[in-house]
Amino acid sequence: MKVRILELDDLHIKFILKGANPAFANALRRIMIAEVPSMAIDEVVFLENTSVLYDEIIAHRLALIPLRTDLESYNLPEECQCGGTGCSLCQVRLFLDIEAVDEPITVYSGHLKSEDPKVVPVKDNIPIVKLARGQKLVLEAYARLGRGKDHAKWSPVSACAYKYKPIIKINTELCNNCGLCAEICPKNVFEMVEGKIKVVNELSCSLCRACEKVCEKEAIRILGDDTTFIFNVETVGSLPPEKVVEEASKILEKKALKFIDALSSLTKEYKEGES
Amino acid sequence: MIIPVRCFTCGALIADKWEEFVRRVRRGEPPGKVLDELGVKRYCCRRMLLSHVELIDEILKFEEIRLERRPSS
Amino acid sequence: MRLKVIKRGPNDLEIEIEGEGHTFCNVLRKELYEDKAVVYAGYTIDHPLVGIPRFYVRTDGSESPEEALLKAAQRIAEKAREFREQFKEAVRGYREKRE
Repeated sequence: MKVRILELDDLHIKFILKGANPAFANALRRIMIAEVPSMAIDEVVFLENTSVLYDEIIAHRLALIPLRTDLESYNLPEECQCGGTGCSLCQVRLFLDIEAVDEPITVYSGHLKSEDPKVVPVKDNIPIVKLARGQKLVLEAYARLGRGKDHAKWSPVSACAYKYKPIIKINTELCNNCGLCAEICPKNVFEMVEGKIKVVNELSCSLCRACEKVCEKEAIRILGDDTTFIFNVETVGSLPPEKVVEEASKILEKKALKFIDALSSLTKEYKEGES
Repeated sequence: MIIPVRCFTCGALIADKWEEFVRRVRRGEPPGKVLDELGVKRYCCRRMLLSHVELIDEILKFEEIRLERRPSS
Repeated sequence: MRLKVIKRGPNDLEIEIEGEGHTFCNVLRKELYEDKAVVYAGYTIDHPLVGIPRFYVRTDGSESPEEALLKAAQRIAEKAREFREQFKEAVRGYREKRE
């Protein structure tokens, strides 16, 4: 197995995984979307809300605000020693107390005050609601760790996908360098260099095969290498992208180890049954 | 009503880009260019900002009128 | 994770894997294909939200189904670990090159 990073910034990572199989790549993808935990507001207590939006709408909007997640210092509620009732190890309180006194105002995610300075909204300029003069919003919100399979607000990624690495074969004996493939390709994979067709952008090919269809000489073959994957992971900001991938591999390993444990207790039962 | 926090399709954060988007489009910049510069690249996220109508501003006007009609305490 | 035996034959085993879904079952199935002793491996989930996966393994007798499952799970864990190390290394390399 070999990994090469193509792009990496605050929100997004692109890498090539070589020497794996589709099942493994898919397991990683599924875990990143649905099982890597992240922080989100889960419960809101409204003390006062005279805004034009209902409590439920505001609660929903609050829940969708991505929060910076600290996986080391917080537990999932179901794995916490408090048994999920809520303690400082699995819960963060956030407060909002705002009133439009003289003029209408917009309430932003930056107005939320968090108990823990590490768990704060990733952006301060997300509008939550607009208040007219005299309107008031006072609330207390509880953020918890959770998983994407329970609610999309807990998914650390937005776009998360992989594709097979493209293999583009041009038969130079058949090719008449007509340039039709370069014209039709939506990803600009081909280019005419000195009257000859050349593959300049192999990795951006989306395997659409438009070039195969348009080629009169049938000189192009597009194949996908099902042992090499190009991953593209984009996070919402709650976790850094490289952390999401790392956590996913940890979770997959943990799954396998748990399965081994369960299997050995099963075989133990057999032996006890026999004797 | 008010700009959705996330893209309906992919879940990417979009609400933080709304105010800058509106400001720049009102100033006369082409919306497509503004979206590109804000880093909104997929068409699912782009339609969120492009097709949104901020109705909450209209509703706030009614609230203001109600406030004026109320006898001052 | 809890396993429940549904059927145990001389060379085959059917179990329910409670608390798992396609994510793990599919890698496990593909990993079992790599084992020469495994004749058949497959699973079904009635519905992704409510069903408990039923996993079926049959071997040619040179290895018990439990052994095949155990070895497959060990290989998955090993692969995940290898991937993580490679990935961390790649990220480190990428960052160093940037600076």
